[in-house]
Amino acid sequence: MNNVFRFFTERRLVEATGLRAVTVRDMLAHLKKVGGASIFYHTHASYIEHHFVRQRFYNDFASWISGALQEHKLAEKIAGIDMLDYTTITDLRNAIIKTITQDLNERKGERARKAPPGEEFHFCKAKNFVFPTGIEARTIDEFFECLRHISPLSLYFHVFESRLRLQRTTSDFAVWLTDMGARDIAEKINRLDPYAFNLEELRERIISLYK
Amino acid sequence: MSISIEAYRPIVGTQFIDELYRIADHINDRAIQHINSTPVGGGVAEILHRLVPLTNELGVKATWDVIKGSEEFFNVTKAFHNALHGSGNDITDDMFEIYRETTRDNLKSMNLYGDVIMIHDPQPAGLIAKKDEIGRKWAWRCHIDVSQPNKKLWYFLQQYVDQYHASVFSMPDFSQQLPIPQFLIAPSIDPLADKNRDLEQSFIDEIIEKYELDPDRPIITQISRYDRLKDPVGVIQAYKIVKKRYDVQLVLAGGGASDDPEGAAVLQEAQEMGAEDPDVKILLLPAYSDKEINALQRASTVVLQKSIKEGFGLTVTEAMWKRKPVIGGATGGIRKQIIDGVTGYLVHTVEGTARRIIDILNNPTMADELARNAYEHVRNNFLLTRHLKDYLLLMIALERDGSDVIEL
Repeated sequence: MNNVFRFFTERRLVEATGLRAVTVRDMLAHLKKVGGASIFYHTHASYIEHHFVRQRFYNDFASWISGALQEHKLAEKIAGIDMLDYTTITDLRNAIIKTITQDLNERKGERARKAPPGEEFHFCKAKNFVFPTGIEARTIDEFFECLRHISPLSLYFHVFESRLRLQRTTSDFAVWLTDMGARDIAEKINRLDPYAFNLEELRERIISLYK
Repeated sequence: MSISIEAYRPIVGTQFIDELYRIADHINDRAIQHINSTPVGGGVAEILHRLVPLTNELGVKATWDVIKGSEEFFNVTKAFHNALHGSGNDITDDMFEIYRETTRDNLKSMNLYGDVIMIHDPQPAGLIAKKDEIGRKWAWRCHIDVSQPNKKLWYFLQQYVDQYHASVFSMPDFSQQLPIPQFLIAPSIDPLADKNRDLEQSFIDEIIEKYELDPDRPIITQISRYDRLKDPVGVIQAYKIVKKRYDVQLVLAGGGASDDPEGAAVLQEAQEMGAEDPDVKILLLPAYSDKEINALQRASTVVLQKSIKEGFGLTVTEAMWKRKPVIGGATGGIRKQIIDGVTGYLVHTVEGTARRIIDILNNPTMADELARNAYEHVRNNFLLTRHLKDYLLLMIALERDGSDVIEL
């Protein structure tokens, strides 16, 4: 058992794929073929870019469908996909595709709405650079103290990125805390829906579990 | 004199600066050579003046060279610039020949030595012809809005662009169908430049007095060129709606180009519209008025950027950085910066603009919250240090192609 928790962080370079959508059907077609990095990017990027504010939709697909196409029902359905139900990008992709396909089937014959010029959806992806922060915790006390000081991106890496990349059902934090014998706190973290908060709120919420 | 990277530590946080050093450590001895077309004037030169010394300070060798060209060549590349923006210039085969000739001259005379060679904008793009001979990693950094480029010109440029290892655009909207990676690196502002740094209140007061503004009444400001796409006339119309019930002042301030007849016409129109009202100040500021612009933005109660079309909209970034509630036209990069109702307001019409000005005047607490969020958004996403970080990551990405996850 490794007693030391090493906090990592990540920085990203965003890449455009060159694929763009004007209608929901375009989006659906691209969703089927675009790389997994793009799905991950568009379901997570807002957490990082606006880590201090609460947004209506954190999911870029939902945000665009609501804002540019004014298809509010579909947007809400996509935003409502429970991210914690999925441990692989493939499953998450399929869930989004299924939601859109169902919606299109229900509205057969309706004229497809088009995004106004300049509001097309651009599929992007990110190249992630992962590196240690140099911050380490050896005890549970230290761990929660560190949690106050790590950057939002470090928090993001351990809670979101690591879970979907390593295909775990839990976050790095819960795994380590369990190893350290703090199973009750680990379980509380596992029960938390990190997608329901912005990163600063999430930090506070996790810290509050250790009181 | 260049500003030390350490001066940014209190602004962006010590962790971020430490991360820059960590990332720089992974670049080892590789050097980056920037090449553009002018040592002064314009946004690219302004950014390179700051970025190159900061990169060196982090221990990564960075240099900057400039191509040479005749007046004729620069006339051609100015026409290219406009045509890439989508304005209706005729692009001729003669222009292409002039471009090729200057490229050949520069290929002969220039020393291309960087491990990473970053070529800025179309003017030096043809230098890629040296790639097969000297190797190196080549990136083409496009600062221009190419969302609707002149097709003939874009096809011409693409024969060069396709040969690069990677391209870099400012926004996804500018990206193209290309066989090479297209990284997205947003523009940035320098929080320590005269245009953005904190100012003494006495200087702000001086500027308020100079332009005969009343510091006790709300000031609505738009800083921009006199260009129809920035809609100064719409700004005055919105002001007039607000003015019916609110005792406000309006400042329109921007530079003017003597060779721009359209700009002169727009300025005149604005002046005529505001002529009867002593509370409307229409200012034509000379070049190098950065500190005055800074003061005007800081003196404002609300800042507008009511553009009809916009590339990125750095004036929006500047105002947001100064903790001002900003109302922007819902277009281009303004939509990337303003999250409606969170970091400012997005508007589509004169009426909408007036409505939002009134909202801000009547709700100072809410205006403060917008301004706080705006500042934080810029601090996280649109400062020079983030630009620097992105260039360092790009250097690493160019060396290690392929994987979506790179462990350092």
